[in-house]
Amino acid sequence: MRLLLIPPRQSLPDLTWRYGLAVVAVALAFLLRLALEPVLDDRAPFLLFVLPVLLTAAIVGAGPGLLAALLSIAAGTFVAPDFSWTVTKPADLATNALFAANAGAIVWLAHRRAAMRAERKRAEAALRDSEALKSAILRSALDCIVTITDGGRVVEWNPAAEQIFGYARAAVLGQSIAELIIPPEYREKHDQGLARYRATGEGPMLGKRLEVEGLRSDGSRFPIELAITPSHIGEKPHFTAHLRDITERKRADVQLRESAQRLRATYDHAFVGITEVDLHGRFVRVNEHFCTMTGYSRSELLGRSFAAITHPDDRVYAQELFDEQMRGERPVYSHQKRYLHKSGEVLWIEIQASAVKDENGMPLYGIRIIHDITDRKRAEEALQELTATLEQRVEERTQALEDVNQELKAFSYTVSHDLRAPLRAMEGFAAILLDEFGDKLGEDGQRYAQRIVDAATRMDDLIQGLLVYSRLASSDLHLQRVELASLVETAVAELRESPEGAAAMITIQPPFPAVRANRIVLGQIVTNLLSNAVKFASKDRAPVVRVWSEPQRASVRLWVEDNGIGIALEHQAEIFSVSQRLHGPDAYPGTGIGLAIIRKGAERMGGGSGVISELSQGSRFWVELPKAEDKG
Amino acid sequence: MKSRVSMLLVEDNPDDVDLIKHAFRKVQVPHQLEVVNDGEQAIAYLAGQTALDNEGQRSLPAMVLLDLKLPRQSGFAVLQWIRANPGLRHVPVVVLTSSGQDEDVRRAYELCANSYLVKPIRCDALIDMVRTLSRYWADLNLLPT
Repeated sequence: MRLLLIPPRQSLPDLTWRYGLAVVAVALAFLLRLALEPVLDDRAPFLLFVLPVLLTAAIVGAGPGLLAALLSIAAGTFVAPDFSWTVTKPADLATNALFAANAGAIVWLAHRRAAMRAERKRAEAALRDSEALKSAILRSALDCIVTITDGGRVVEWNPAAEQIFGYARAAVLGQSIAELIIPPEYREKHDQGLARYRATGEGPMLGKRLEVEGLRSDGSRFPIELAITPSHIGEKPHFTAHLRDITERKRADVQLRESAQRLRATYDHAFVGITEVDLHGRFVRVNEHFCTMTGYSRSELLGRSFAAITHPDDRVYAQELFDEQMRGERPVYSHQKRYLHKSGEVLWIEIQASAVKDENGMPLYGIRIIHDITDRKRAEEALQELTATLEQRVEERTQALEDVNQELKAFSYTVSHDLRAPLRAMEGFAAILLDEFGDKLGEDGQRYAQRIVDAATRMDDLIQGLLVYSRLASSDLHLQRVELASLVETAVAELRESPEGAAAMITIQPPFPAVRANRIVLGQIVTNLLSNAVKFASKDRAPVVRVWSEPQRASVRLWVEDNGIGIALEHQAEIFSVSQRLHGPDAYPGTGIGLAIIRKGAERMGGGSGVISELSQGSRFWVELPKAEDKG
Repeated sequence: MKSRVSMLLVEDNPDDVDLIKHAFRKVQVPHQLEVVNDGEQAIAYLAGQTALDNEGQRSLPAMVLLDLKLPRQSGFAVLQWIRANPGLRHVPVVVLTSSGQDEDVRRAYELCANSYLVKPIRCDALIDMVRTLSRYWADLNLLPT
């Protein structure tokens, strides 16, 4: 028990005053006793001293009371019976003791009273603090704290609730909670819950985390999370709800879910294989494309090691890389290796491997992205093989071409030597028959012999033409500057000496620039053009031939125009090919190879050829050749 | 000096031989036409001609008409042999053949043929050719003795 004689936190002047009062009170009582001495004598020596003790103890506390008591005992003892400190009679002793007991009792009572008062003060302060704390909690709580009676009336409504629901505390106290914040469709349920609690003292929703919809003062709704706890204030049950606006959390949840779904969709529908492998290399997750790629079903793959589907030759290398990653030495790697498809087929893949790590940086599992590069690999291999064999194949082809060329030369040689010999014999002997034995042959015989001569001549022309053509196609042509003017003049002069040419009117229109050509081939071309011009003359008019040139940007076009039978449009393309004859040899003589020689020859010299013609209106043939570079 | 009285035809094709003989007849070439049918015969004949006769003369041909495509020894071999033989070096050799192929023409001139002619198809053209040949090589052309 605490001593109150010198209570802590009491100042010195205060102490002086209080204890001084005790001394003064006792002194006054003593003086009064002295004054009453004649009346009282030695009776009731302590009676007067009860007052200072009682007053001091009651007014200024137990400590001064005790001092007053001690002083009073001393003063009383002194007063009776004979103003001395000596006490001899038992009666006086008893009187002393009784007074001391009474004074003690008074002091003790005073002390009790002070103690009780202090206790009450402390309790009141504690209550005040608790209230302050409670209201601070209510005020500063982030959650809405709402207390209602078991009748659903609001008794507590904190600032968070004000803010979130939009109602001021003063406006809602005593109102029905249901009508304030519970959407109409849930109100009945709420009322039933309260009624049941009132009836049974049970509420299945109490103490649980609930997610419901709330109503704001503006009528809008929002998701809330709440927990309700019952409490008793006096005899009345109350309910306190902690509510929280979870709009943001809900939105985040939705976003998270959507994001997870998107990720899932990406995973499932990606056009690459995606897998997760555990620390032992076993498949934990695989996507659809990976299954398709490897031919295994998901259930066949899960739990299986990647090594099981890796080509035996690549296993060691792949395992080393994997182990390094799972030891944390290789965060990311990428390499190419072979898988074995379920069918046993080899599959080339490119794998990008990364590891997901724990907070200490140690791998937890691996993520792999796998591309099927079989087609690319095959193409690369094919290309390599192709490159390797290309040279050889070029050699082979070159050799084959040379062989063909040789054969063609041998063929040409045979044709020119051996095929022409019998022709000469046919023509020669038939001619001799006509010359020397004509009269014996008779008219028919002469005609037949002449037919042999003609046929042999035609066949020789044909052979000569084919030889020229094949030489044009197969041999290199030496190109040089050729004066077109003199070449044309020579060719026209030759033509005029032939029977057909003599009948024609041939006009040469200079100038003719020099061209770059092979002199012999160009001569042949010009001769062919001119002889065609007079050969295919119309039956009903004399042949008129005109020759001129037309300069182009880097070339010269030589034109030969006639007024002959012309060529229908549909035949104009084909007349330039070998063995294309439009007319029987009886109508127009020739081998049909002349135009083919013109075209091939012009092409081989870097030029071209063509015709503009209309049936029975004549033709205009042209050949184009590169211009000769200027002399000097 | 004895005039060169003969011409040598080296030709394996009997048809061509007859046709050329016919042309010679037609043109009335004064020279005797000797005919051999392959390269070996040609060389043997010419080798014989290089020997001196009783009068100490060589009866070299006025001209050799040489086909190229011949049995045993080709016309080129014969030509090469002639040009390598000091006694025959200057004898005019006219190649008379079916082929007008550039390669053959070039090679013939490289081996020092005096002329290169392609046998014409027409008989009258052959007669013209023989006439020209005999006129030029036998009558006009001068040779060292």
